[in-house]
Amino acid sequence: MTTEIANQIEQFTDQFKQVKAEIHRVIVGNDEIIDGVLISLLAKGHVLLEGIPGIGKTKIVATVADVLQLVFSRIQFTPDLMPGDIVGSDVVHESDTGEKHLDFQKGPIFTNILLADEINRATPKTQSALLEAMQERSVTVGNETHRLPPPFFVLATQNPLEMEGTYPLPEAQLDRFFYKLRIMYPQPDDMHEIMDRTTRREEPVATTVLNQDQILLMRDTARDVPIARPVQDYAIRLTLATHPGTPHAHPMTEKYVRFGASPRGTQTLVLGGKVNALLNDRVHVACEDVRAMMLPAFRHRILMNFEGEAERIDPDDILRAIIKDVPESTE
Amino acid sequence: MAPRGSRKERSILTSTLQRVDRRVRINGVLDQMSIAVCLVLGLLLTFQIGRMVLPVTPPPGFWVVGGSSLLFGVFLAWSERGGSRLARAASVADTRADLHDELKTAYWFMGLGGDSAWIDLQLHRAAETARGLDPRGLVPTTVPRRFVTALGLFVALQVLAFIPMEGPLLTFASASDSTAIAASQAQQLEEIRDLVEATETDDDAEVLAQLEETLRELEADQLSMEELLRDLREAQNMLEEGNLEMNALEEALADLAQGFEDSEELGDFAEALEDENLDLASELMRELSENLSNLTDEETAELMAQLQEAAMSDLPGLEDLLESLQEAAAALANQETQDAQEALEEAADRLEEMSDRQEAQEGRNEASEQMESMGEQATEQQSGMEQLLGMQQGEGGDEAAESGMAMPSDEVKQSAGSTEAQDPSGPPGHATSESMGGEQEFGAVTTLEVQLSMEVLDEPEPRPESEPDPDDVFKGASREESSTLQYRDVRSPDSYAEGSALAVDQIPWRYRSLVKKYFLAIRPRGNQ
Repeated sequence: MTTEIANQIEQFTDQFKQVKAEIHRVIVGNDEIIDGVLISLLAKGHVLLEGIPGIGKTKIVATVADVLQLVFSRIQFTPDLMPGDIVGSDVVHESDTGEKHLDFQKGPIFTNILLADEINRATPKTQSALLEAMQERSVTVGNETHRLPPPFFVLATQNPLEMEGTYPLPEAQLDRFFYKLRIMYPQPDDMHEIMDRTTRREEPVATTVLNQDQILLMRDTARDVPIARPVQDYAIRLTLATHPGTPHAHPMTEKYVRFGASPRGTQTLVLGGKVNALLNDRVHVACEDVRAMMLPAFRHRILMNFEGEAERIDPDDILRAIIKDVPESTE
Repeated sequence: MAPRGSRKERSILTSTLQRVDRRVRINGVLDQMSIAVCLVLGLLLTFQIGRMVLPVTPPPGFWVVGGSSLLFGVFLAWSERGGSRLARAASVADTRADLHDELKTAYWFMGLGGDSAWIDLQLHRAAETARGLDPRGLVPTTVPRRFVTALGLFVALQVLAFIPMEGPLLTFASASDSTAIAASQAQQLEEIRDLVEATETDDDAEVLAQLEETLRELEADQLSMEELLRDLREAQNMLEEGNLEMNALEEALADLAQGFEDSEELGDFAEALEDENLDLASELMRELSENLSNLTDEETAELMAQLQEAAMSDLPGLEDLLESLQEAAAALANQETQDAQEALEEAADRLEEMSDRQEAQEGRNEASEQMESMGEQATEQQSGMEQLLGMQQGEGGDEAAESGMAMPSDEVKQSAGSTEAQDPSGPPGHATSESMGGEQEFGAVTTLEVQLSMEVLDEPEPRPESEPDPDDVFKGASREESSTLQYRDVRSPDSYAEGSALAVDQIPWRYRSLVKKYFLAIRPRGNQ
């Protein structure tokens, strides 16, 4: 039995490395982003990608879809986009006999990988339609509920610069995203590589390395990784440290944070930690796995207060301080 | 539910963790011991330096060391209670060997029941890792560097012990004056006590007891200045009680001397008595006793007559002496020379006793004088300190003085003086003091100057000669009260947004002025 699990772990690691290597054939750098996207996929989460235009947000998502043998859809969010445009709608259909009946026409959300490009440009009503589907993994139109095909993985992007005419996602909806990943501007060396790859006659193309079943098996494997109570306690104390007005609150939290991370955030730490443990050939979650998940899992889950906003405090700074100051053990 | 992992794996994990725990404990004890030693040595060093610098008496060193050892023992017992801490040992091993919480997780999983292949695999891996660990290399026994500091402190302590010390370098600023005064007074009192003791008489036992009590209280700093002065006065009174008797004795001796002035044999004796030189008088009396057999009959008869005459006189305090002289005269009358010599010897003894009493009283008087001087000094010191205190309080009490609550004494005297100049006889009822030697000094005149101001009433307005028409009154009031400003143009001092923004608690107080300035800046100015 243990040998079987050991093989399972080895297979998991190998497949992950293959996927990553294949993505890197197209995407230059961005290791953390690719890891984050894949960890979210394997932990049954969704990702919000944030970055300035033109740094490859959409390219990363498209490449991930290419590498995985999954159905991929893309929705460009605009202010006039309606919920029906995403989830689909009942349309009148005429049969060969001339009878008319309503048929449900599936929207682009019925896919495995959905790229919600510039999600903050759609109205809250439309955003809600997507975010509800993300959480429930089903769509209800009329009286009928339609299950979304597993795996259902949403990669949403948003541009932090152009705030004019946008509808920022409310905190409750941000909480639905497993990770918020920030794509930074590439380094000069990476820029050279990007130029070399993308300005030739033939651009590199990623090949498929994982199919749907393999992904689902990897998801199950990740969830089997056990976590000891002391490590889980550490994850909980990290979460509580983001809550102002509690005994565990960090001083920076008390000063700059209005609301801390939810229990869903703690789930993110643990699930992400499990995947990270497997990637490091461990059969247990370590505190460092939890710590590694802290920034992408919590940066969109803590709500700054007036003082924090006024002083333009980066949530990442608060989280780094919490990581530094919260001890692994309470002894 | 059975514990996780095979028996062998559990055994390996447990034994490894126990070995690590043992070494962690040893290092912990060494670390805590180094802290304790440093603290104790630091304390001793502080005491040593403090003893050299300040007038303090630190507790003995063995008390400090003993107490600290006891406390350290209690602390160790408290900190090590509850047996082994394998979870802590697992954490330490994980950290030192960079095992990514493998042993900590395994130790926790060992206590779990149930059936999980994943946990079994984890325990198996952890046991393999533990087997390869070397607890000695993982947690080496380290002597804390604090022991070097402790050694330095110890050396410093030893060096300080060899430095000769004549007393503290500094004294407490506030306590130095009173301490010095108390020490000086105690020294003076000791000298006085020695003087009284030197009189070697039983009469002074009470005085000595009181002086000892006063001295003890003074050294224990349990005596106020008033109590000290009172004790000194009482002791002084007791010491001076004998002066009255001595004066009477001296007067009697002078009278006695007058009786012997014309005597050929007793002339020098009389002179010695007049000079109050009782020792010489005693010596002369003894010489007379020895030479008694050499006297002629006439001289003997004359001496007998003079002695007889002196013995018949009434001189209080000299009864014993006169009795001896009477016996001597009687013996001479009976021509019993030997008895007469014995009687004169007795008289000489009486004179010596009186001389001793005289010297004792002189000693008492000297002690009394010293007490007088000491009392005066104490009074001066007390008044000096009160003056200093008054000056210190006066610095902070200017406001009170300005408000008229305090009146300087000079001002009072000046006021009294001016009143005297105006009216030397003084008004009836003034207090006078007879102890001022006839010069009467009057206190300040008590005055009761009340400035009464007349209540001025405004003159009533002259009533109109004729009553106004009610219609005019109403119309006039209506004209006066009509609004001249359109209500639409009336602006609230604060807009709603401004007020609500300032009322929101989420705006920190230090940003409120900024918010207010913002709203003031965007306020429309056209209608102003």
